[in-house]
Amino acid sequence: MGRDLTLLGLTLALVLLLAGAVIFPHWLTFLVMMSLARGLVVLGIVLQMRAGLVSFGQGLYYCIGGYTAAMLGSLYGVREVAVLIAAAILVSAAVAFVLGTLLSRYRDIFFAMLSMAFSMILYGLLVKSPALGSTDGFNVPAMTFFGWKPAVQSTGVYVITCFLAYMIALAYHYYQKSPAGYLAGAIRENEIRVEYLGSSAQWLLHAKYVMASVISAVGGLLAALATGHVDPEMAYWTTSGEFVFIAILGGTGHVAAPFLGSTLFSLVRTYAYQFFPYTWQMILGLVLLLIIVFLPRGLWSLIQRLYSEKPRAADR
Amino acid sequence: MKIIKRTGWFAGVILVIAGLLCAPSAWAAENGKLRLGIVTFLSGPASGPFGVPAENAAKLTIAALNAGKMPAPYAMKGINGVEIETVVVDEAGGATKQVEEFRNLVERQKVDAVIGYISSGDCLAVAPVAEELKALTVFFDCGTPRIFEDASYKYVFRTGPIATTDNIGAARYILDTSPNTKSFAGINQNYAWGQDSWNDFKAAMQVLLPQAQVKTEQFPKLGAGQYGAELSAILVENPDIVHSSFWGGDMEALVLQGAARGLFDKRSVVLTCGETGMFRLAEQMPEGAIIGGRGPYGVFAPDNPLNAWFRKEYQAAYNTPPTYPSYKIVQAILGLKNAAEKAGSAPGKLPDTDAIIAKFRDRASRHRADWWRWASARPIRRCRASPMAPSIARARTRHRRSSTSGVIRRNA
Amino acid sequence: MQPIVRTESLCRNFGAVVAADNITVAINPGEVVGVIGANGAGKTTFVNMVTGYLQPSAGKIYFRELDITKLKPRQVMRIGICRSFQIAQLFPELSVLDNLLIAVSSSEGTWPNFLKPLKSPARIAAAERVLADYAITSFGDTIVATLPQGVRKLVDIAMAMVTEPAVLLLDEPTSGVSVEEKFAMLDTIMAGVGGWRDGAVRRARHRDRRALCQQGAGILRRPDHRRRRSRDGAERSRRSQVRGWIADSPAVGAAMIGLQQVTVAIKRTDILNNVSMAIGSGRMAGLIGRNGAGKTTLMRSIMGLLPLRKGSIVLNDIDLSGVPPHRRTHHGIGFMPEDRRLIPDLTVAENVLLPAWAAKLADTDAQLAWTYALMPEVQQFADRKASLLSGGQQKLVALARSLMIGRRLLLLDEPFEGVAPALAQRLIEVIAVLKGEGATVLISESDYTYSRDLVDQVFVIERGVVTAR
Repeated sequence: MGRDLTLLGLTLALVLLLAGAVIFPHWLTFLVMMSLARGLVVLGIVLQMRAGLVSFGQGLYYCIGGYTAAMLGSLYGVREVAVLIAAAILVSAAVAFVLGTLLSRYRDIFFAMLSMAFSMILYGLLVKSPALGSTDGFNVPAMTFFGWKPAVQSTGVYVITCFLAYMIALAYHYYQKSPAGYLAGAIRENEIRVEYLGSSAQWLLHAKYVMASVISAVGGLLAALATGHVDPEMAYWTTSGEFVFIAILGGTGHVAAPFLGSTLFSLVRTYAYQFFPYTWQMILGLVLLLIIVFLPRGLWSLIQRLYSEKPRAADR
Repeated sequence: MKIIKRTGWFAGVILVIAGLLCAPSAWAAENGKLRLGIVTFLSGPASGPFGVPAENAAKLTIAALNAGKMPAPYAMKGINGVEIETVVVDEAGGATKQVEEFRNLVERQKVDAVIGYISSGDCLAVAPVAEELKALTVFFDCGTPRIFEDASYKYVFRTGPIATTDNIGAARYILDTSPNTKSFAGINQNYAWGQDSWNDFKAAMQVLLPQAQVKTEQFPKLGAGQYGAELSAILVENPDIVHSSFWGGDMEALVLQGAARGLFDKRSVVLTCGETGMFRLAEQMPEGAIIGGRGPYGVFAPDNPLNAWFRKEYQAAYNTPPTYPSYKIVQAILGLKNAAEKAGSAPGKLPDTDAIIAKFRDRASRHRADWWRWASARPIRRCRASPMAPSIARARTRHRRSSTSGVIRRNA
Repeated sequence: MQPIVRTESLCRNFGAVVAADNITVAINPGEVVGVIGANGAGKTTFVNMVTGYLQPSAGKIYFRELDITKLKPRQVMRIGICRSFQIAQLFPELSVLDNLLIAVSSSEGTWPNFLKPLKSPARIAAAERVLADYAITSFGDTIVATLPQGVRKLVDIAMAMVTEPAVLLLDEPTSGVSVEEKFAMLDTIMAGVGGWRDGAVRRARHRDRRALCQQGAGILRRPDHRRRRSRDGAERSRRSQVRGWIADSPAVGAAMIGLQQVTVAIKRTDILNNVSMAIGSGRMAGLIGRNGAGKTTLMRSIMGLLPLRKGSIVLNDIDLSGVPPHRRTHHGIGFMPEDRRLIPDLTVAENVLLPAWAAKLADTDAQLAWTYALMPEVQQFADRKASLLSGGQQKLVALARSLMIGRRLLLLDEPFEGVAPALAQRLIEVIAVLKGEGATVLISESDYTYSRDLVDQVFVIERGVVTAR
């Protein structure tokens, strides 16, 4: 393996995707945009999964990101994406810090259920707020992107999505190689030993929870900009469940896995929609079931297998 | 060698995927037909009462149009002589999903127009996208007034009335039939539709019957199914009128449970969406319940040749009389047809979108005396407390036995 | 001299069970101290209390006269008290080097770095130095889960030593290692510890070894420990007893279990290589081999827990290859895993009954009564949760559990491992009774220490190859 194939690959992907703004058909740029946005949310889940925690409430931050953007946009007249990004990060970090003090004490199913409960509380609050459109939600107005006002709004969202996803993916990649990143695996496997090595598993999980939340909130913000609409469904447990599913589908082995997983998920779903309008749920479930059965470690294991077997194959 | 083979294999897979991605746009090549996207609930709780009846009606109507068998003035084949082909999409999955699928419909499947959307949230989310893509879109059912109140769209139309008219109509009906009403209460689902419906009804009542007091407002959650606690709360307060915008299974459950608890005994219950359940619940529907059909649809539709044709064909095809969602989607299709045919192209050719839009707007503002008065879109202003024309109230709600018993008996 | 660690009247109860009773000790810098006691005497509890994992019910702990009673493990570790574990506590999915790198980076500060890479040259050098100290450099890239127990113990100790602590507590450092290897391993440990900078322990002198290797090691002697017999004496008395039992060995029947050319691979490495062996009905066989030779793999293969690459296994004319693992117990095979594998939240009785329930055994009560009669001590703590037992007691329960179901064949994987001599005696007694009742038994051991005079036939396993002797 080369020194850092991931850096190279991510940069290459960024260049390709940016070129795609011109080359791709529009529906595909939209699909990529949504997949990247959702991929970020899934990245947040994967970050916690590596430490052995499965969040069934990541929709909470998806929703917080989306609503922060939409509320600032339509209620307070903010028209600059940079402000929205900063706000989404601050709000989600603050919420995650507070909730994290409680959640970092829990593990396994207790963590999963508690995280889901918080997400459902937000859902309930939003449904009971007619001022925010209740279940219908409301729309996000057009934005400028660091001063740039594109002719078509979605071009701007696409470019900003690619850049944000790239930057977060890079940061995540370096984080995984750092001591803190390795400690995630260590906590998952043997929390007692981590304590005896002098690190606090609880503090680390708290920090990871905040990080995951911020990443997911950025994903929610981008999704809200891309669709131009937010509704409480973003915090509903089925949305969170979908994210967990994509995380398992993609695998947890690499930063690209969640993005790959969410792209495949979107593709399968949209074609199932198109070709099987009456049974798309079943087709979707079947395809995903097959992937889980034959690739239990996720899609990424396919690519991993491709490359990790190289030296072995060359030997023979 | 192995490495090269592997990489080649990988590249091959990517190529195949890329090919798959590009393929559908090729299928949407010009075949001289009008490609119409139909979006309605095919799965989930809204599919039974709304989505599937609407889809059935659309299929029936489009088949008749393509065969040129519709009664005058819709006898021209297809739309302006152009055959219609449809792409049917499930509305389930939430607003984000629908935005994604709307883009796919327009950009990948290259439909010429989209008719659809029952959920108000979906309409709110889809409208700006339709505008961005310059895609002619007709909403046939969603009831929120916020679409055209909060923004104005060139490419987006709605051929049905908003929920506000239902509820003001219901209030006016009560003013006409029981002006001595002293008190009223509401039981509505705790989501946007239920909250908006109740607020509109309450505001209208406070203007029209200022002496009537709100006794209690109950908001059980959507799809709760059990309403014992809420019914008790209402019965304790003993209001003269009970308002409910329940739909589908929830509405049917409320009728059954309410009848058992005596909810309908000494008071009038207004079910603004009651029409979809009236054939299924023909035996259980209590005497004196006030039923709405979200406009002049179903049993409230005027008696004319087109309606007679539609009822007969629908009954024959699906073995049940059509309810309001069926009427509403036909209205959207015929509205589009009407506008397109008036746009001035030679028969057999499609006029361009802008010309259709101009005529669609024209139709809307002039209120042509078609047998379906609402067969065109109009930006209806939200009119919470202003009295509506009495004709709307009359069209909206009616004592069941007085006008619909014949219909019910046919099914029962 | 000021003691480096001092405890005052430490007590600890688990419900009604007293695990530590009024322990008052003082340890001076530079001392090597042994803690000796039978299984369940409270050795691990003591280590757990000093390192903050367990809060004492009463009493105080001082480090250099600083009260550390209330500190958490990570705080205790930060002031300079490290420990190793009876069962190595590692990160099994990671490589040995990664395990040590995490330890190195954790020792650098309270908060880990979030962006700079873990694998810096400086850290790798530090980790490799430690690996070299404990003579496990060659295992650097091996995933911990595939390591033999002995190496795991060394990694465990190496991780504790990374921070160069002032006090090191070794909890049974050589349990899970064969007796022959124990001394070599102790040399390795003490050599590693000898390079220790702080000077709390300078060098282990030869006379310290015995204390360390005998039973439980660490720094302290239980004030009320029961006995400390010389190793030779213990062995002599045991052997004389064992001979007496062998005399009435029952007649040998047809082959109860037969392996034909069995090859088993784990992660594409052959662990068992073309193994053929047969044990006659009613016979007791020994399986002798060093750590990592393939003893556990062989037993797990018979239980169906590992797939055969080649060959077949036949139990009394039944070809086991067609029998899924969970059905094999129904054929009367009992398995006592080396690492006990009790279910911690169930009571002892429930643990023992579990295989009988799973196999829907008809005469569960009779079988249980027979098992209890054979091992009355298990009945004594039948109502206690398995997690509250000491390592040695768990071993007894695991044997009882295998007896419940193993009417035709008993597979005992290292039954005498990590067990005090007295308890080993008890195990031998029980096994000898079984032999008297005509059970077919396969006992694995790393040498002949206990089983030599107990078994009828011996198989030696070496790098996956089995030879009859």
